[in-house]
Amino acid sequence: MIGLENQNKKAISVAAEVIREYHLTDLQPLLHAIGVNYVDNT
Amino acid sequence: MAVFGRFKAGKSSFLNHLLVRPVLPVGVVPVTSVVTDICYAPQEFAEVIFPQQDKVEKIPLSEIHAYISESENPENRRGVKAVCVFLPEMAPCRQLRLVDTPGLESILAHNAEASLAWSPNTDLALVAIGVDPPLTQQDVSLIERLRRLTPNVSVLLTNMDLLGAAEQQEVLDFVTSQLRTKFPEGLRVFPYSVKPGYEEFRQTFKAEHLAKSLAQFEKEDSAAISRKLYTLLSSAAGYLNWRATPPK
Repeated sequence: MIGLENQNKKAISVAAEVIREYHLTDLQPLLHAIGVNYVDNT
Repeated sequence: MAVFGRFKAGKSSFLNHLLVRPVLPVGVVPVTSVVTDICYAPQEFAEVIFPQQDKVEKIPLSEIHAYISESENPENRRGVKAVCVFLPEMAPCRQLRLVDTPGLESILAHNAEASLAWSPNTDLALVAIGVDPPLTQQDVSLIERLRRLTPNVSVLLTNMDLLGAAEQQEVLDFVTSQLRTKFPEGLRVFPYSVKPGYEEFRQTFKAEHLAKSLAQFEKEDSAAISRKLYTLLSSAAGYLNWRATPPK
C-alpha cells in the first residue's frame, strides 16, 4: 500500500475484510494490483 | 502501458513497430496466447513465469514464440502466467513497461480470459481498434471496463493504411465523436499504421502519448492507483449494501 494515505489504508483494510468474509474473489486481483498481499485461507 | 483490444486489431504488430524490431510473434490468425511484458535491461533475454510459486525460467529471446504463440502453445497448455522480455532498446523509457495482451472476441475464449484477468494491473491502457469495423459496442464496453481501473485510457486506431486520405479523416472523426458521446471527458485517439509511408503516426504517438506520459509518470501512476482504490471500495460497499437490503 505504498503511497496511500492512512485513511485510505484503513478503508482498504475494511474492503479486504469484506472480500475475505464474503469470498469476493473477482475483487482480489484489484486488491493485489494496488499492492495488498491478500491470502484467503479458506 | 498495456495494449488491449479485439483479436487481429494489430496489438503485437504495433508494439513491434514501436520497438522497430520484430520481437513479438504476429500472423493472420489469433497469435498471442499469453500476456507479454516488455521492459528495459542492458542485455536482451526473456523470462517465462509460471504460476506455481511464481517459478521463473530464463530463456533466449528467440525462444519466446514457444510460450507466447497460440500455434506453439495452444490454449496455453504450458501453463504460462506471463512472459517478460528485457530489451536494451527500452533504455529511453526505462520506467515504462509495454504489455501485449491476447486478443478479445476471438473463438479462443481463454485468450480473453487471460487479458481480462491481467487487466487490474494496468496503469496506462491503450485500446487498439482496427478501422474496419471502426468502433463496436464491445470496444466501448472494454473502454468502460478499463476506465474503472485507470483514468489513463487512450485509443489506437490501427490499419489506417487500408483507407484513403478522405476515408481516414472520416473514420477518425466518427470514432472521436462517438467516443466523445460515450465519454464526455474525452479520450485521446491516435491513428496508426505499421506500413511504410506512415512514419508520422509513430512520431506523433511517441511525442504526444509516450513522452507526455513519461513526463508526468508519477502523477499518472497516482491517478491510476486512486481509480483502482475507488473501484475497489465502491464495489465492496456496493456488495455490503446489497447484502443489507432486507427481503421484500
